[in-house]
Amino acid sequence: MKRRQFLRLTATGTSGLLLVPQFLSAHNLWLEEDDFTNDNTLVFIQLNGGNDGLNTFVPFTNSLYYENRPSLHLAKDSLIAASSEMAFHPALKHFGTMLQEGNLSVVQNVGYPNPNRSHFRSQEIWQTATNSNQYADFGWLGRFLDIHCKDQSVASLNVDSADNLALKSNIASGITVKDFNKIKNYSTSTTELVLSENPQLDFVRKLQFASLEGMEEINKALKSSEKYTATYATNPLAKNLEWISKLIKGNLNSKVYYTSLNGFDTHNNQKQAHQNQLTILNDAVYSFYKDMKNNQLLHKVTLVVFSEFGRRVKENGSGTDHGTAGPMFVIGGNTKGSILGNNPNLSTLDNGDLIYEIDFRSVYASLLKSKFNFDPKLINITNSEVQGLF
Amino acid sequence: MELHHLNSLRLGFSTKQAASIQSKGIANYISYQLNAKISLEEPKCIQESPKSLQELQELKKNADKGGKEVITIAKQLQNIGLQWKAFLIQRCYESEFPLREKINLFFQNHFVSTFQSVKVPFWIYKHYETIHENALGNYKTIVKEMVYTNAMIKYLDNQKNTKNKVNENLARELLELFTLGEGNYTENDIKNTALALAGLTFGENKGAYKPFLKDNSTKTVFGKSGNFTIDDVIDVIFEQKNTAYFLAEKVLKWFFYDNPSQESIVQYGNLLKKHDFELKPFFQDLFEQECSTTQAGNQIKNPLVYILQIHNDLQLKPHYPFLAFFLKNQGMDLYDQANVKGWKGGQHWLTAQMYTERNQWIDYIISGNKKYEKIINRKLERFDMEPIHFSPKITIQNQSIAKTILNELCENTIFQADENMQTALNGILVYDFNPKSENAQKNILNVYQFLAKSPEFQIL
Repeated sequence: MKRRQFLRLTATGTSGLLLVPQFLSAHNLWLEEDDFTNDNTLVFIQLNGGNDGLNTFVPFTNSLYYENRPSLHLAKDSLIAASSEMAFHPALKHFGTMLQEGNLSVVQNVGYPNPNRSHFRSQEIWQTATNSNQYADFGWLGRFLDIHCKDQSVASLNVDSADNLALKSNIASGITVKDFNKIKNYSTSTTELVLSENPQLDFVRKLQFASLEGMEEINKALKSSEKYTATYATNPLAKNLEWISKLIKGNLNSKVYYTSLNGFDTHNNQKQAHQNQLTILNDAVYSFYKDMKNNQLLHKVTLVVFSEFGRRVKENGSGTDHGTAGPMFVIGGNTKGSILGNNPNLSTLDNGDLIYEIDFRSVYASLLKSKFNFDPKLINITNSEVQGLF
Repeated sequence: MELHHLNSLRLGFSTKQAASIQSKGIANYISYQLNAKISLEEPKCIQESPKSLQELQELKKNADKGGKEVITIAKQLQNIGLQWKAFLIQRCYESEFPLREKINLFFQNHFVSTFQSVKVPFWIYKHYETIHENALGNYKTIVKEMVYTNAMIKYLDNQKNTKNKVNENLARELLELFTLGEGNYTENDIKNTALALAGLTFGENKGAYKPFLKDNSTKTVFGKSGNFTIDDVIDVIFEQKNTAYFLAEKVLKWFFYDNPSQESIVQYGNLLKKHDFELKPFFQDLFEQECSTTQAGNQIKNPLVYILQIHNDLQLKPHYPFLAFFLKNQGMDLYDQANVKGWKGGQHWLTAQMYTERNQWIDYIISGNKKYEKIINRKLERFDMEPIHFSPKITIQNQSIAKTILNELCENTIFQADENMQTALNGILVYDFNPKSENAQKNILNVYQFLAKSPEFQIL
């Protein structure tokens, strides 16, 4: 019944929203309902394929940058200035805005010792927060949630086509949903909705959503977030972030949201491909940022953008090869809004790759400690926190 | 899905026979299955249970006294029931001739008789034995044999059917569920069939007419009259039109299609008629034809196929009593259907709840779940059964790169992998995955976990 109600409500669209006074932000309503704890929310964007850090956050005053990248370097005057020596890729215009507004931090040269240049393995390392010669069955966030909120119905929510190892837990429950629009469609029991040519498959697909634990809470949250309007860019990542925003505003109370963007493995045709992906990233993140800000939620929501590795300093043909360290971005959540760590050292390399200076697990440690007052040692993260992030 | 794997699932309970199907060829494989001499020995739980009518009467006397005795008897019965179900699942999984077991199970669900209602394990065993011995004979013979089993007499109350007080239960189901199907007989046909059944009650190994309870008047069924016994009535029933189509439809549903086409029902009904209701050639032809198609995705997997497929894929050591519990929760309690109509199959095999339970099981197997294990083991302990513990392992023939691994897993486990599925899989096992890494087995199991939870896996 509840689901049906939800459907009816979503089906009627946004017409009712105009009735809600502007001053009613999600933050007000959270406080009104008063079942929102003081806990924070983390949102992760995993850039799959190995994002080229040097062309994302560019050391534009370093002559070695131009020497190593004769054809791939970005024109100085097109860049979005971040400091006297560093600047964002032209596509990341709003990363500049967010930095200016004091809500974005860049952590430079993030990586780990003995880096692995395999996508699969390096993602696994980032997701499990282990040493590069160690393996773990559960993800770092999964282990955190197992301790921090084991009884919660939807401790984590992943907007993707498959589960993410980072969220894999022993006790805590997490949900992976690829397309929330489909939930709506699949659970339409009254009208016989035809999704494929196979009625049996359609039947099971509909059940798949109904069988997800926590689906009721999700529907409830989506319903209660209809009060708030927000405009999002039109790209797949923005769509995912919009759903995440709805769930946050609807007070689903998951601690961790996760999503990803493919297309960063730029061996060829990097210029155009990277431009495209960063544009998607910029537009999506800025939509989400504005939404959180307008609803006075930005201080509670921390958005983290990372990739499994950066790319080789020297270009190769029209692209770049797998590398090691790269920049990580932290947005909102009362981050101090600064550029942390040294600028990339292009003169001392390890086999042509940057040498990491800040361990990604230090960033994880900071997130857990500052946002949840959680001791990272409980999940075997022993690295010290990054100073100056929060 | 690769055809041999698909056919192994269609004609059995897992993909275990894929290699054998491939090497023999489908026609030979089917004939090899259908012509095998398969022994059936009484399992221990049946050997030790009371058998003769005298023993059973004594047991009843004891139970009638009430008190503690009743509880002990009930517990014993429950325990035998569990062992019996475990025995059947073991046959399905370990038999070299799973097609035979699948046919036997088909008939058990066609001639439903339940442990819970019959309450005499030996009679249930004889019911199964009767199916086993006649499942590839003539359909008319098996119908006759079934109505004479003590289990069927008990399940459908024919011991209460006497010339003075007629009980129509068995007569009705004989016409409605065993042969002609609803709408193909009159109430008068039922009345007269019931009269022909009057006095047919329990005997030592099978039912028998008690002369003083038998009705010796003239009965008229489907326009024919005489002092019929039930054998005579069944002969008349088999002269009627619909039985062959009724059976063909159920066979198609059990093995291939949740919604078989009217044309194929007619085609195979005619085939059964052509073979004079001889089941072996009928099955041979039907299976050969239907197994030639690679078109899958027409049937929701029943829980037994679902769970045994996973056992085989992950090389799990089966815990048969646990499997019996699992099937019960999934609405496929062996020899304990909810009603005389049997498992409905198709979309009735899955609800959101059952799907959740299937996914919990696969999560437990691959990621471990202490809570799940504890709940199950507590239950098993009550039946003095060993606790469960599984170590999954997966073997990939061509483990050279992520693509070959994903391809093989898809070909062997799911009926189709569309573009969305491919994208998801490529995200789980990224193309540069190292199959020789220390953690490779675990990573591949994660892929299997994803596949086994997918809607595609629930369908055949």
